[in-house]
Amino acid sequence: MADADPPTQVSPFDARTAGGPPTPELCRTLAARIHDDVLQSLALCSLQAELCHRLWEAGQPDQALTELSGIGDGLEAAVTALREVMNVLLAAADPPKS
Amino acid sequence: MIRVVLADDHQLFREGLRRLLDPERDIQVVGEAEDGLDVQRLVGELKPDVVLMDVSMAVVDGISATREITRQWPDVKVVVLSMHAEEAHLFQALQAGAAGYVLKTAKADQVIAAVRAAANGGAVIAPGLTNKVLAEFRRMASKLGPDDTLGHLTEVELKLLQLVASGLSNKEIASKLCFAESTVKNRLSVVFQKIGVADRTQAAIYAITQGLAPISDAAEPPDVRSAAR
Repeated sequence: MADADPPTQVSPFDARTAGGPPTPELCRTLAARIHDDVLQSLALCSLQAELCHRLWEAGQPDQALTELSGIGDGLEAAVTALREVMNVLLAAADPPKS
Repeated sequence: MIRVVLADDHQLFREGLRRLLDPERDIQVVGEAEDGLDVQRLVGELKPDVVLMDVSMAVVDGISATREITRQWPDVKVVVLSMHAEEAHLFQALQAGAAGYVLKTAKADQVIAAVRAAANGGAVIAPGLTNKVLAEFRRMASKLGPDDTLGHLTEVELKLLQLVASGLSNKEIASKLCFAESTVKNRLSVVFQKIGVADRTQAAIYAITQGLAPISDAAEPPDVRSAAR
């Protein structure tokens, strides 16, 4: 069976290249992903929750609903990023057999 | 009116901050920057009262940008708005000249209060992090304090302390230094007070821990001044 072409860029979040050992570089990549895509999203959700509350109190329900919708988007982004990080960790713990 | 510049590489978060601050009657967001270099340019151009600064940004990070801004425009107050709750980031920000350090997960009221406090010349540190600042202060004080105390002792007082650490009695010290025994007693009381100990045992321990080694034959004290430095 002919080998597939090697991917041009190695990414721990790509299923084809996942499964490497937990090197310091991989740990930094995961930490950056958590910082950029999980924590930032959750911090924004927290801010938007407060904005939503303030807008509701100020009698601006339409704007409050817009913030609420943004919270949903932010939570979805955080869940997606966390799931990807989890998959990388699982692949590192139990690498696929070649 | 407090004029504010926002610096964060996450556009959505900047927009959220703007929506939070805009309704405040005494606060006006006058500009937004997405990296640490851009914010320096904006500050030079707009001369805001306060910068809300993220830490992790591209090109130039928020700590370096804070250092440069507070150096070039000391009237501009920087409040670091960070995701990091570790003391390393907090201390770096304070050393860079930040007037405040608030977590991104803080309540909106805390962020607004931090902007107002910084604009009025105050300083704000996230409530959960103040204990880290106090712990660091205590650590530094315990490290630096004794050295300063030794520096306040006179040459004779240092010699007395060394002789006490060598285990000599007041009578033996008096004999060695050609003092009256009562003089030794009085002067040692002053030494104990200066170094903050209650008795000669504590004084001896203190002297040894500060590098004033006991004199082996109690005859020729080493250069106590250099040991005190």
